[in-house]
Parts: sequence; structure tokens; C-alpha cells
Amino acid sequence: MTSLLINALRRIHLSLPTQTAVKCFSTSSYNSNTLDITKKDWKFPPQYTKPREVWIENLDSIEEKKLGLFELHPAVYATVPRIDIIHQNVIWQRKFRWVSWAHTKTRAEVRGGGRKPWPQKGLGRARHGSIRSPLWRGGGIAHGPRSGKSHFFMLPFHLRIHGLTSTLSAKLAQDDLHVVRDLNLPSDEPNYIIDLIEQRNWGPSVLIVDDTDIAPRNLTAALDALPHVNVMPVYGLNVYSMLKHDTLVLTQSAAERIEERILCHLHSNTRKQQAAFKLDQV
Amino acid sequence: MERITSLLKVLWRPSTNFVRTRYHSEKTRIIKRYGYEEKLWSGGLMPRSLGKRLPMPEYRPLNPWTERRALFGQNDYIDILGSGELHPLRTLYTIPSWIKGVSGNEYQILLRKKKMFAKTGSPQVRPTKWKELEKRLGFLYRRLNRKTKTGFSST
Amino acid sequence: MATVWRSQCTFTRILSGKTCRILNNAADLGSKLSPTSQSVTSRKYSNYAHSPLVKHIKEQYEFEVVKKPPEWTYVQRLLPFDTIPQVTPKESYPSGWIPPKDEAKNLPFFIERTRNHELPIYLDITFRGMRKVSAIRKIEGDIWLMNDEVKEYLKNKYCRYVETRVHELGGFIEVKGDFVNALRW
Repeated sequence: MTSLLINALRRIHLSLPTQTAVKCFSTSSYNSNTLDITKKDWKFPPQYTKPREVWIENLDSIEEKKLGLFELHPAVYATVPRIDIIHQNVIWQRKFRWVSWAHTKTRAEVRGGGRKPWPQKGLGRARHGSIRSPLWRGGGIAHGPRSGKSHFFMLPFHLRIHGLTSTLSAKLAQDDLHVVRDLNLPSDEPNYIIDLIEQRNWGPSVLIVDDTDIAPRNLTAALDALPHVNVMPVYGLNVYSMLKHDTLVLTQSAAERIEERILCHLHSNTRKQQAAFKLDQV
Repeated sequence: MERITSLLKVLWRPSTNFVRTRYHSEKTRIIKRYGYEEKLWSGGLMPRSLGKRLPMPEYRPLNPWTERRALFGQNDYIDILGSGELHPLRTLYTIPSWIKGVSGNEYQILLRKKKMFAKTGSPQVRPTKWKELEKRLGFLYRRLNRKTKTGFSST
Repeated sequence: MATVWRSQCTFTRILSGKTCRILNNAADLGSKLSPTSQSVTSRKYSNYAHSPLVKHIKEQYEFEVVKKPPEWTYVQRLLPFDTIPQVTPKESYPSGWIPPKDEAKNLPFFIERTRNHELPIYLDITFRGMRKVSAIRKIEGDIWLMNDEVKEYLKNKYCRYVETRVHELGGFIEVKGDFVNALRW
């Protein structure tokens, strides 16, 4: 039943943007700026599912302006969001870096305890061989945590790609993914960003992803005071951060770059990446 | 008629069953050692309002948006979204290299640690630590080889 | 925000440790730049603290970069493909490979080809050959309609009921039994 609905939605999606585009064209002429509608031709065009269309928004005014329409590849931004795979990805992200440093000393490592505290027989007391036995107060710990417990494992390569596409698709489907043209702000005031997020109903925490390593100065200065609004380059994007932040804001170039990287991996020979993890080969 | 009833009275003996009932509410505490005052509280659960209060740590909510937490997981997909030359393991700068990317039991990890630290100045600089490492390795070797089952071979 | 700036710096450091790229944007490390040349061999540093800082690489040889000379085509011919190339359309394929049909895109369901342009139909043999399950993967569109059609098709072909299992989110159908050749209709 759900697939019927999804299918119907996919079919409708073809006819929808043209109507909205026409409507917005009239509004844009009222705003006296042109709306550019980008039709992309991919190296690997979508076969069956129609491309997703998103608005290109702006950041240089608090009010939202729609600068154009942009197509996103359905293999990256419109896959079925597999919650189980997203969960596996989050667990992997938490675990592969996790080293537990909890440590206890065994009876051999606690200082002292080499001498028999009292004779075996004749005192009417319980027999003991060492004051550092686990039964004693201040003694060693039996089966305690030993330092340097690694929880490392690698999630298979394609599961990680699937995790990224699933999360991006879920974000787009829930209207939590926005595409902006660039990150140029008119001022470096944090209040400007707060007002902008409030006005556009972006939720308190926002993750901004750009294609380049260096973000504009106005943006970085404004975000210095806002710990819940963060900037990342494309290569820093990950499932955990996407889920931690309410809204994901991609620049147009970043959206294209993510698409290009994932499509490249989906259509190339990935035997090397799929091979079993070997520490000396990474 | 008179006779029959008297005969029946003689012959018929109803079986009576003595039931001894002692309900919980009727029970009283057995008085022993009269005059001695019981110091143990027998009145049930007690609120801890009198005397010293239990130490309750002050609730300090942690800030979920410190820089480390806000950017947790950054660069974990660098081999997919980056240029493909760098493994995400190489971006974990804070983890010591002898345990980074290692998975195994305690013996395997300690063996690797020993192997990597043997060439450094560690045995001379921290002799007690080194001795304990070797001692633990010896203990684990004996335990794994003599006390535990190995299981089926994976190959 | 300072984070982006820092991550950028770290990235340059990693790259320098790994592939010895020429990086001129190491603005924060400007005071530590030295004209000494870096070793050409690639080395992986296990420790971030021990890896060297980014340096300007002194060129060992004088050379001029020429863009796209005619010789470049010969080099390009030797380079491996970065992605699997598209199929060149032919009249017939001697291997028996069947190209995807264009009219399939208008049907209510669709099976995407794999990256190697093969049909995503597989046989899974488990329990030492005791259980055989054929799986059709990468299904888009109405999967339940496809399930009905698969059942009908196999029932007519083999004159017996076949058991199937549909994973709607995963987009695959599993058929109990070895029907891989039959499913490649």
C-alpha cells in the first residue's frame, strides 16, 4: 500500500514543479529578479524515479527569497530512508572511535600483599593468604575493566554510503534540507542568524555545509557566539551530525559535490573499499 | 419415633474438624526479655527525613553543544565524500596509535602494545608499568591456552 | 566559527603527511615554513603529533606545465576508468547480455541494473545447500504488483505454488527455491 502511495507521489512530482515554477515566476517578476530553473544532465541519469526539485534560497536577507529551482539526483536525495541503516551508521560512528580507559588493578598489581597475614591454623580466624585478595577491602579487583578496551569495527563501505543517502533523503522528505546559493551574509551579528533561523522556521540547531574549507568571514564571526549553528566542509559531513542538528543547509555547490561523490561510488568498482579492513593498509 | 431419633443420635456421629485460625492482624510481637527496649525499628519503611540526609549530587545538565559534542563525528565519511585518499581512522588524532583501529581481546591488544613500546624508552623509563604489562601478558597467555576452549577454526 | 578554519588546517596537515601535495594555503603555519624540500616518498604517520607540518616543497626539477598536448590522449588511454563506462549500443551482444528496454520505464515497477549493467537477481544458498532462495533486488515502484506477477509467472511455469517474501523498504523480493534462470525473463 505504501509503495502505491510512493509511486503515485513520484508520478505527481513530475507535473508539480512546472505549476509552482509558473506561479513563482509571476511572483519573481513582482520582485523584479529572475528565477533560474536548472535542469541537470547527470553522468548517470536517474532511471525510473524522477529527480527531486528544491528551491535555492538566499542568506543575504532575513526574509526568504527563492532564487531558483534546482534538481537533486534521486539516487542520493530520494532513496527509501532505511532507519535501521541510519541507526547502524550512528552506532558505528560512536563505537569505532570509542576506547574505554576504565582500569582496575588486579591482586597482582596492588602494592604489597606478599606475606601471609596470619598463620593458617590455630587462631580461630578465616584462612587468608594475601591482604590484597579480592575478598579484602583495599584488595585487587577480580574481572574488573582493563584499560585500553577498543570497540573498533568498520561498517561496510556500501552501508555507510546507504546511511548517508538515507539520512539525506529523510532530511529532504521532512523539509529539513535547504539549499542556498552561497553563504555571504550582510553582517557578522549573531542576532542576524538567530532572526533568520526564527523567521524561516529552521529549528534551533542548523548545520551549514559548504563545498570549500574556508567559510566567509561574516558567517564564521557570527557563528562564534552560536554553538548550536555549525559549519562543515563537504568531506566533514556525517550521519551523526545530520541527525544532531535539526536543519541541514547545503550550498548549491556542496549539494552537487555530495551528489557527485556518492554517484561516483555507486557507479564504480569499489572492490578495494569493500575489502576486509586491514589496519596496515589504511 | 422417639426411639428412632434417639437411635440415630447414638449412631450418627458427625465428623468435626478443629480449625485453628490465627490471622496476621491478631498476631502480636512476642514479648521477650521484659523491660528491655527494642532499639530496632519495626514500624516498616521509614522516610529519611530525620538526621543526616543521603548525599544527592547536584543536578548539573551537561551542555550538549560544546565544540566537541557539536562536531562529534566530523570527517567520519571522509573516504566517501573526500578525495578518497584518507581513511576516517586517520582523522582520529586523540586516540593513541597503539590502539587506534585495533579490535581484539585484551591479550591481543596488550601484545600489540608491547610490540610497539618495546623499541621505545618505555621499558627503561617505566619499569614497573612494563613489568606489570609482561606479567599480565603471561597470565593471559596461560589462561587462554590452558583454561579456555579455543573453538572451531575459522578457516 | 573557528571550527572550519581548524579542520581545514588539519586537513592540509594530513594531506602533507600522506601524499606530499604542494599546499600553498597553509596560512596558519606561515611562521614555520622553511625552504627545505620534503621527501618524495609517501609515508603514513600513525601519530598526529609526530607528523611534520606543511612545508613548501622545493621543486627538484625545472619544468613547464603544458595543458592537453596531443600526447595526453595516449596517457589517458592507459589510465584506469574511474567509473564503470556506459554500454555502447550494438545490434547483438555475443555474450547473450540483454540491454535494458526503454519501455520498461513506463511500467508500474522497475528493476534498476547493477553498476555492471547486470540484472540484480541472485541465488542465496545456505545451510549447506539445503535452502535456496532467489532474490530480486533494486526494485522501484509498485513492489506488491510485481510480487503478484512473479508468483503468477512461476506458478504457470512450474505448475506449483511458490513462496515469496517482500521487503518493501529494501526494495527486494525473495523467492523460495532456485528460480534464477526463470526470473531472468
